[in-house]
Amino acid sequence: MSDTPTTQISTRPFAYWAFFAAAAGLSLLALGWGFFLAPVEATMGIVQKIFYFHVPCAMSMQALFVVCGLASFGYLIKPRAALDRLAVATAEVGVLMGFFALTTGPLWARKAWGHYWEWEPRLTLTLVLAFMFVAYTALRSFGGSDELTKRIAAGLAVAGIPAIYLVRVAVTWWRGTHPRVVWSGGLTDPDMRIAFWLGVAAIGCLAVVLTWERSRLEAARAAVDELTLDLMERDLLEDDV
Amino acid sequence: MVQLERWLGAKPHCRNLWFFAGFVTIRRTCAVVAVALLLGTGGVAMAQDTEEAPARYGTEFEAADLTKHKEDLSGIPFMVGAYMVIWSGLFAYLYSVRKRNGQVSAQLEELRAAIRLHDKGSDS
Repeated sequence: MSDTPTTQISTRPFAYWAFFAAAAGLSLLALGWGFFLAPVEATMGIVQKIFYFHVPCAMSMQALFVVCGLASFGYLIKPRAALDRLAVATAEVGVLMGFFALTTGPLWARKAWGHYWEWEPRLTLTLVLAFMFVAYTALRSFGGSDELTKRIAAGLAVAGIPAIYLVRVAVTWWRGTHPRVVWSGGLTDPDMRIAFWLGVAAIGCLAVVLTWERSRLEAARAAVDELTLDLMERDLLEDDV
Repeated sequence: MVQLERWLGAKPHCRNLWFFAGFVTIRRTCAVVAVALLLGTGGVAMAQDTEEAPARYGTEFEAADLTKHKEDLSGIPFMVGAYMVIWSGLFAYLYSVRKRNGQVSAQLEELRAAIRLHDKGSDS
């Protein structure tokens, strides 16, 4: 006889290692290009080089929150463990990327604007967006693993999707002072463009690797919960373990 | 985690409903207010920490013409700080997740071993 739970934690597949290698290689390339080949900006000076990783972090944050919102929406329609794991992983990695964007941006602003922070639309909305997903991760970390908590958290993540859109359009709608360089063709030097897109690729690959790793952790935790319940049913564990 | 929950005032019997019943406690309210004040005052202090602000940088980044201007390297501490935040944060997070993964995997193996042992015992 053996009705042992069969939950398996997958080993890291080739694709994971491919992303890992790509992330490492692209990061080195982006750092090298940004430091040594991209020219110093005319008015801001060397501090402009923060841009090569600040913007990719902000873009990754938005992409990860969109994936989190969509996975959560999918979970509300059809509850699947894989969607829930994806949502948890993308939210946490998105919060990390948001933290990077919100700390490196002020360091640039101190030199470029003369002060660290301005309550301008894009910055304020990004802060609010990050707090929404901090609330999501806090709820998932401390709220237990019951279905109700998962569904409430999923609702919160879905509610974050419009905020992501608002962050994107904030500068045009409310005429904020945040620079609009990438999509308006404002990177005039080819080496600046290459450094920036290498940064986007590097941070994108890193975000995939981190999300993958975090998702594996969630799968392993679910397997531990399942086996613990199984052991409790067999009276091999105390109920309060 | 349990200790933190206990300190924050979560009631064990309503753990699954903590966000309804056990969440609003005096300690938690004070903690939230303290964090809000800290962030609020910090933000205001930062916003007021101004020096003569140069012109806004709106839509274009232009390479410095080194024949006319000297390279402005005065922002190096800010740039180094920003890069350190990103890269140390990324490595620390990756290390932390992989470490947690290892711990949970070890726990999983222990539980599987316990079940195998139990199955073997009940078979014989």
